Amino acid sequence: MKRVFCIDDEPVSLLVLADLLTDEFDVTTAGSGEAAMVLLHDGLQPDIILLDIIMSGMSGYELCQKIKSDSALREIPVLYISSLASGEDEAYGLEMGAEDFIHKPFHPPVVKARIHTHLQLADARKQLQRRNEDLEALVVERTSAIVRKTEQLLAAQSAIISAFCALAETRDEETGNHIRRTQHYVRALAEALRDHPRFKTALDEPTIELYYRSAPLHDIGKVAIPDAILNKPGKLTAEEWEIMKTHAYHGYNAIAITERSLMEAGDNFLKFAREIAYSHHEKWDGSGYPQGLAGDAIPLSARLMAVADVYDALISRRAYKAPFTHETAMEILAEGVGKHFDPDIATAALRIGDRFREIAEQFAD
Amino acid sequence: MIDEYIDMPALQGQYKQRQAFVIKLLVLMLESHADVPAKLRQIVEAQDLSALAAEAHRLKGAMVMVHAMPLLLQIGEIESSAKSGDPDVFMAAEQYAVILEQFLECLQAYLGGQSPD
Repeated sequence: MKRVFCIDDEPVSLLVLADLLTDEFDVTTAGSGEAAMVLLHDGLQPDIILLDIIMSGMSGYELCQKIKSDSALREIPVLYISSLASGEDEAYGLEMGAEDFIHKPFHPPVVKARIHTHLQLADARKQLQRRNEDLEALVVERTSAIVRKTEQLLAAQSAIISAFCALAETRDEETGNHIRRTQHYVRALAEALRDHPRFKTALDEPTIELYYRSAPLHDIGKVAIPDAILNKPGKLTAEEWEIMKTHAYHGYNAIAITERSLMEAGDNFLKFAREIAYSHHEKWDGSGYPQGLAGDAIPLSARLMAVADVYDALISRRAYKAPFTHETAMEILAEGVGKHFDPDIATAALRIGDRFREIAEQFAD
Repeated sequence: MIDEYIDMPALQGQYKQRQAFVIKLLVLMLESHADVPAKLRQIVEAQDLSALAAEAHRLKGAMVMVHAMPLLLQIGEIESSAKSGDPDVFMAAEQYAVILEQFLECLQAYLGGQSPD
């Protein structure tokens, strides 16, 4: 049975209300606002409150305000029941937070109907609130699941890269820290260009992160190159060079196969890795390989990697050459602006040359 | 005669001829208003308009519950006059105190002759 709490300093009114409601409700009464507050603070939990306005001591307006400012009580519907007749009185009462206003003399069926209506509304509000809480809990649960899946996916990607890189390192004596250095150059370059008008739409934070993570796979195709060519201590013959150049295609192919089997996971990680592996030996002027792409037809990821890869090759020792100094490497990059390299990317590399040097020192072989 | 003050058919009708409840209501009316004439006179003596308006409002609420229509109309006018600051309202309130005493005496006499059943 729902509990109705009637508050009125006029005992006759309280008796009439209690008589009216007692067959359908559990009725509690209080003869003043102060007495009502004591009962409410002592744990009385009414489902609805009927409240007189003009009372000696605390007025109904004041009591309503206290109820509506108390987080434990504010959801209880408050209905004024008063012989105040003006629209201003009614409006003021509703401004204090009450749900409704019943005028004295009241008609018993109207009082009961209003009580039922407001009890139903309160129940509906509670149900809605519970449903919202359930939905919020579900969103939190689902979000956690997505975060967990994303973390698992990222871990799987990292594992793929680590496995590929470990494979490459066992085959290629030159690789070593080259992989780490080039991925850091790529990120440094991308960050230096993120506000450049040509690149600012492409180089957002997630993309830069994906470039960084996929860059280590740029030479993965070298695992398909015979040891005699890959680790030859001298210049390659023309025929050997043609075989060496196929590493771009082998890399592309290996990643594309993996990409197709992971299609459902679908972010751009392997797409960028594939672009980089396939196109990082393309040149801005179209003289590169394997496709002879030129200008913006070369994927941006590969254009960044081209600068990073060449710089690192220049400053590294090879069987057939001593390492160039940083300054010499930078001069060579400058010569390649607009020929080998995207002019804006190579110019950015020259501008952040000190950062390249720091990276080279940090991950020295 | 109680009928001069209370519309008994209307009162009985509202409470569905439940004589016991009507008697209970009137007993409560009598007991809870026994000190009201004195209270009204105190307010008049203090010339307190806001207290008069509040007391008149409370009385109005009680009178409407027992269908005491002449008393209801008079106290309604006193409440309005007190709210509007009419200085003549204190004289009206003093007169109302007398009428209220008469009503309560009449009510007591009526209840003395009534059986709750």
